[in-house]
Amino acid sequence: MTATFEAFQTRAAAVSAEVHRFATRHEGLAFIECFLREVGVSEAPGSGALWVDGSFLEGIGSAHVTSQVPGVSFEVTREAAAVAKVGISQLDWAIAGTGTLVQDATAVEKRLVSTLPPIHLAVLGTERILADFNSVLQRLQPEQINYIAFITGPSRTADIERVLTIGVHGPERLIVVVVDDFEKVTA
Amino acid sequence: MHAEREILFRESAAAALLDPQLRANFRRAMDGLISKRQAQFPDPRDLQELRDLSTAIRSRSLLRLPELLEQLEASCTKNGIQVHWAETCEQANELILGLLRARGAKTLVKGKSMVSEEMHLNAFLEANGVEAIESDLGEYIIQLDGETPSHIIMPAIHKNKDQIARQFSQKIKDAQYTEDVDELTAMARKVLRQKFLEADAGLSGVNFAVAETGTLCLVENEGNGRMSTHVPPLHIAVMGLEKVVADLESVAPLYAILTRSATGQAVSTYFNLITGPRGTDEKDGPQEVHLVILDNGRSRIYADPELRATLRCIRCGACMNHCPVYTRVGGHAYEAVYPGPIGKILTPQMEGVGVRHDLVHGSSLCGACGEVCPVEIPIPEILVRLRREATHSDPNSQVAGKGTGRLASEDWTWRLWAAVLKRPTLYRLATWFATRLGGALPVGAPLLREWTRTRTQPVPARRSLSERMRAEGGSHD
Repeated sequence: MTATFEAFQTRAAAVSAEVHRFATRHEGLAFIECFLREVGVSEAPGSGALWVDGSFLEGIGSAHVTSQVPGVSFEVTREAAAVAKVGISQLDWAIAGTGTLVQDATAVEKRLVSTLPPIHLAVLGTERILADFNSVLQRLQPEQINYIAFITGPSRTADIERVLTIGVHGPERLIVVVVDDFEKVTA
Repeated sequence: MHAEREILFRESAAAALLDPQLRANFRRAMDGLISKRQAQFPDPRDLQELRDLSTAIRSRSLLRLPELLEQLEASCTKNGIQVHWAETCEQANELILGLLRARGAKTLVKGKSMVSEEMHLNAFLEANGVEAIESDLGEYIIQLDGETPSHIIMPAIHKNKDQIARQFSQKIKDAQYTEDVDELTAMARKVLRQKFLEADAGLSGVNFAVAETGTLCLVENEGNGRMSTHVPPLHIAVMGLEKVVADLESVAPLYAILTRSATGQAVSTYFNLITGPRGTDEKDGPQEVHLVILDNGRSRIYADPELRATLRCIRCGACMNHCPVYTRVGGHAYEAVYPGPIGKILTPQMEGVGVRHDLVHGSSLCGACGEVCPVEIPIPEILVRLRREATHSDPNSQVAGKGTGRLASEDWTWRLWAAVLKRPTLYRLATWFATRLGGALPVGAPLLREWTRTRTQPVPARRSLSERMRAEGGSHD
């Protein structure tokens, strides 16, 4: 598992994603709360964080997060996503070979928080990192999923003089929080 | 037989060659793309294996094209994606306008789509009161100046950052002049973000359409494709009818070779598989997804077993990046939607091989395009075939405008040539005159001018070989 994680981390870092690994969800959450405070998430307009609730907070509760970091909201709308500073969502799979995150993004909320805010924070179970594209395809039933998103690093362009620029339309930062004890909950 | 011929390419290419800024912009960009692609394929055997696989997938998809298209329509319909067919660009434009009007849409935000360029959709919509906004950064830059893409992947690559800085400071409201690429990008982001949120509809292209599952695959880096497809309430996707593949397993190798060949990336930042509109319990996301499938001459290309290979193209642009002609004259000189080698074979087949005769001759046939093509389209061979089609009217050929590129003067020259070669006396007389007087022929004589424009005019030997053999001895054995 560690080798797969390390491969994923190396590839993801190569495309400017920031990857952090934690043993437990509690440790992961502590990091996330600290991170949100650090980037200045607050209740002030334009400083909020939007979280699409998933199994990550099972047994912890969203209320715990909002009490720790005011400014985090779980009510995801297009309008809220358009002004949020950070979007947080749970990813379904990752691909070690390319540093890619994969998500069943049928729920448009998941797409909005990973597209509109300048920072996207993704949470993921370590067990969910697979070797390659085909391994992921085999575990998905694409015909039953309206929207599958593959995300490799933050938004980028090289349209001006081929100069690499991060954060053109989508997020300019992609933070990936990988947690080892995730599967006990999601399984 | 003398057809109306606009010899545009030679003239516009000559003009482009005299623009040092343009040449420098292209040279730098193309060198970068070539080395990035090379870095993605360190082992030539792996590359060949992936090319063989990709070629096989595309060829097999084309072999089953009619069947796969029907299956795609059925799968999409089942998923709630509404499928529309358009034989011509005019029909496709009308169709899209109809969809927009039905929803009262006044603004359309566009992800990158070369097919929509082929349709000249923006101009058509503007004329009909719909604002069409390009959201790909490169497309946005050229739209500000009313230009067309000079490269299918990097549409604004003909401009450097100083030119873009000047343009932004003049055309974007309240913009400060800056040559910082990050700041320029941020300016465009700000303008376009507002457009995304306000737009009534979004339009995207399609990289691969999966027949079995009814899935539309979209490859992009910026995130504008994602926004165009899920921020506005209506999503319209447009594709050429050749984009269909049988199943999702076919997509993986094509995606892998596409991004590596195009920008030298192992994967693109975003890869989206769209299989339907939002569910009934969703409060956001497009309520309707429409797929417009365009023919525009493709079924005619399909009908010819040799030319069919043209349709394998996955639009990576590698042939442009490696073409000694394209890298020197840039994309605009072609005066075609698809520039470079693939454009040279695609444009004449779509618009008529006679009127775009100049394009099929605008190649040194060096073969670089065919060598780098990820789906092994024999571009040089097809160029030669089209050169022939332009001047011959083979009754079995379906090529648009076949035979209309024939020049009367060229015709007569060859007839004269044949007549002389068939008659020994005439031939001897001609060689006698050529050897005695050929050296006196003025440079650029009327009939030769076309040929000697780019070649040194040959000077005949002072005596023919037969004469020398007779005089100096020797035998024919």
